[in-house]
Amino acid sequence: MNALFLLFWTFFRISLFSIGGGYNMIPLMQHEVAFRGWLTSERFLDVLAVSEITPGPIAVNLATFAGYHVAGLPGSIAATVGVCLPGALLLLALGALALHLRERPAFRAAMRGLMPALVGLLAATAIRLALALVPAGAALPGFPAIAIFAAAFGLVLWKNPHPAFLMLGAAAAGVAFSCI
Amino acid sequence: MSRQPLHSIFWSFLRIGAGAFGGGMAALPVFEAELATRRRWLTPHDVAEAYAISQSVPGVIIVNFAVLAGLRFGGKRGALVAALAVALPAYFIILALAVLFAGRWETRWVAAALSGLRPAVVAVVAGAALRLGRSQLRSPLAWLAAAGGAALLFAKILPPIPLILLGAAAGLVLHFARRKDAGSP
Repeated sequence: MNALFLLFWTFFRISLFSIGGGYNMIPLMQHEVAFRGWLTSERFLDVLAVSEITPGPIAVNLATFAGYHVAGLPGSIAATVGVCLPGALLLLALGALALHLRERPAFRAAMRGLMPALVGLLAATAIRLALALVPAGAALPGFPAIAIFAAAFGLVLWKNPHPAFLMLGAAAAGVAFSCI
Repeated sequence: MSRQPLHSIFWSFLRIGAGAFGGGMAALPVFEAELATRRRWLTPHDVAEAYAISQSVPGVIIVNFAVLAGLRFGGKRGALVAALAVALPAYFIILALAVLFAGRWETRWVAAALSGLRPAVVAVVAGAALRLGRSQLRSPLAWLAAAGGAALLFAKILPPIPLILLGAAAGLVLHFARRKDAGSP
């Protein structure tokens, strides 16, 4: 298959099955880019970190980067259009119906059923990404990585600060650890 | 509310796209500041409603919101203009960074910053899982289903899309089974 079409189609599919908002697209993204060999888990984490610091939709950030990485400028356009299109087309097609979708009992039931799947997907993805923190040949991540993870996780659960601030703090901590 | 000129729609959504740090999760105040406070095109209530709808269809929350609001302000062309404008800043910023960083990921300071960023991103994803679970999973059975889903994905038995479909189907089956029970004497 043509590389551009594959990028478009992959990100279209990811977007089409991402529902419920928030970080729910991340497991699908991670799965696809790893499965296709487009990005390593480390680079996926890097791009996710950059997405938290820069403005705009995280899905667009990830699609643009992966698309550019795989097939240059045309790739970045194909992936970005692919990720934006499903929701846009659906809303254009549904029109006023979209306003009432949320009140349908069957829709709410499907969303309720979806939630355990989404929580499970996010948890499994977090574990998979955590494995990328372990250096080759080691059994555990280094002390700096464990300390930063623990501090960030505690902050997320306790205060839930804006992710951009969390990322800036973490970058500073990474630089500080590298100097000592 | 009312129709708006296309160039105003474009500028407003470009501002939103350039101001929405942290993506769709953190975008509600940005939509409100631009569309309710600065432009007075929508009431805060309208903004909140459109935001909720953008999250209940598949896709990118911010782009979905732009399509919904754009439709209202300028029909199909308004929707296209708003969606394009809201995605442009993110697209060009990442493109610039991708070009700039190509071949520089392993240089000393970049690598040092990334060594701090990676564990923090894992913490954000793990935190998102726990937060979503605490707000949405109300029974031990739901937590058990979540753990089962995590195991199926982690062991590479099921990819994400079939798992998502399975969850939605289970919700629908439970719903119709309950309705049937309630309907029978």
